[in-house]
Amino acid sequence: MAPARSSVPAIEARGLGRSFGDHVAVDGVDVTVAPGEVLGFLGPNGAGKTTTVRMLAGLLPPSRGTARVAGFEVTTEAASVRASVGLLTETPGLYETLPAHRNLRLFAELYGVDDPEPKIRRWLERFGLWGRRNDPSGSFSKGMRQKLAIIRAVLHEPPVIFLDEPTSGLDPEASIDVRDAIEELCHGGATVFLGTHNLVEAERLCDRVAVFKQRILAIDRIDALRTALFGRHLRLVLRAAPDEKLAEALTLVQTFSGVGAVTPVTPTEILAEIPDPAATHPALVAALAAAGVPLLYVQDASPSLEAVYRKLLEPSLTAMGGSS
Amino acid sequence: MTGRARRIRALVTKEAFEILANRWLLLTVFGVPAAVVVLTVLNVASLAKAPLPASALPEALRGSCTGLSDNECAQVHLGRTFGALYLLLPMILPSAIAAYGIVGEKRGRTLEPLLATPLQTGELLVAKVIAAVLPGIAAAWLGYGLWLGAVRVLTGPGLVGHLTSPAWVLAIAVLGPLFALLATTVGLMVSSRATDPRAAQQVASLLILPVVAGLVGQLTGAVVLTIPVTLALIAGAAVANALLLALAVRIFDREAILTRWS
Ligand SMILES: Nc1ncnc2c1ncn2[C@@H]1O[C@H](COP(=O)(O)OP(=O)(O)OP(=O)(O)O)[C@@H](O)[C@H]1O
Ligand SMILES: [Mg+2]
Repeated sequence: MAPARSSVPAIEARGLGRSFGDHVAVDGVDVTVAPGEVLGFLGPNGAGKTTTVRMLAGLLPPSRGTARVAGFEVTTEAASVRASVGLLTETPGLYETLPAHRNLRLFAELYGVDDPEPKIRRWLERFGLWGRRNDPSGSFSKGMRQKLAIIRAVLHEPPVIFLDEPTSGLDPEASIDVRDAIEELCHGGATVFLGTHNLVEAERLCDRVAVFKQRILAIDRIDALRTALFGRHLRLVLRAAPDEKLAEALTLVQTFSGVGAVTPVTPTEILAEIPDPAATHPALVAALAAAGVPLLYVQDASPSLEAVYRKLLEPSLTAMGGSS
Repeated sequence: MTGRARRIRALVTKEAFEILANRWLLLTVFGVPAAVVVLTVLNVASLAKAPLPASALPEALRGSCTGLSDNECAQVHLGRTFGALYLLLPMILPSAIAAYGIVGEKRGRTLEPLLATPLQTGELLVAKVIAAVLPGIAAAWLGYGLWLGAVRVLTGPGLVGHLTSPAWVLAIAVLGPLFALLATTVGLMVSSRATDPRAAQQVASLLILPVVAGLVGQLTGAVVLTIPVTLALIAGAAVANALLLALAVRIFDREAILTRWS
């Protein structure tokens, strides 16, 4: 089996769709993911994330469209796709009566891993589970189970990894722990497709995100999405100063070239839209300092990913709120 | 070893570890055969001590005992009837194991990760069947051997010779495993629809009814296991197996497992 050449996309889907009876779960996904890229697939419950992941991982045949994953066609070469990807399923699905080690050993054999023991040991040590290897996986905490399931998915060193909601149902501490584990994977050079509705996770881990509900509503780097949806904003916070100084600062910012809309938020805080921060910020800050404006700090005021997500999903969120 | 053989072996090994970790299944797998051996040996022991009256022998069988005393004939007859338990044994264990095999996977949602590997659906089915069938066949053969040993020790070689007529050896060697396969396939199919392993197992164990009927027939003398009868039963079981396996392969459709078994 030849590994996918690096110029070939790790994942390439065209019009990929799936229906269950009359119900359209996924309505045509077009996406290209470069080798080594970490793509977040963000969507609300029922958006079709799991269905998409299953199609891309060679588990579920699509109703429409095509996809190549790790160089193989998901419909005609599903077995090769399955051999070349790792899948963390929505529920860990461990054999709870069997020891952690036995769970991993089974999957190492199923994936045809050569000399699995050192690899199993390395991963268990890395994720802090080596000491518990002989305990039944059913005795593990949720976070430990999830880490075990992640190891199970990557033991065969797949070039493409699918993670379906890796931190859902975990407490903050376990989430952080699992996210650290995923971050390690992401730095390992594999292509990662991360289905999630956790925005913190997406923000921390992903090179690009796709906001998805039956189809991709937008896909880009997070800051590019922010700019596209909200423009770019700078927050200027001033020390309490005589009124005339504040008024002077406001006028200066409003008339400065390269600054768009300016909104005074409080007497000591100004929000300015700045389309090209690299060109405008240094000059603006220098001008303010030269004019003796008592600056406390200057801060990028990009809206949160949550705001981006809400804005993209707004029509459908409203529709959902209205119908249910 | 090919990838296919390696995957099947891995799954069978997993199943074995799961049986060993399940107290209830373990009790079935070791307890039931042990009980059958104890029961059949006690039966022979009691016959050796207290001879049967000739009247205990069905009229139909009297003719088949040429050269034997009525008591010996009655011993052979009852011995064969109890020997038929070793045809039942390979049906009981596999249906229990198979029922737990799939329902357990459904409950633990372990099938999706399994199906995400290069494992093929047919390989999954084969592994499940092997893991369920082997303990039943092994227990039946081992128990049968132990029992014959006990009969020999307790009554001398004469009775053993009659109990191991070619028809009976053929039945234990070939018919038993075919029955085991039948029970396993039915157990797998039923449990692929049920969510409670006990329900699945109960339905599957209805399958032993015809065999029990045969056993009763043997006891009354209505059925005598001759070579032609054994061969006919083997042919019937083989055909039934082929049909059921074809059906099972259909039920074990990958997508059906993934989208309906949850
Ligand atoms: N096997 C199936 N049969 C029928 N409908 C299905 C099946 N699988 C998924 N669906 C439907 O398809 C839609 C998408 O489901 P999917 O599980 O892919 O969403 P999701 O984005 O993963 O949601 P969640 O965040 O809740 O996991 C849902 O409306 C779901 O009910
Ligand atoms: Mg999902």
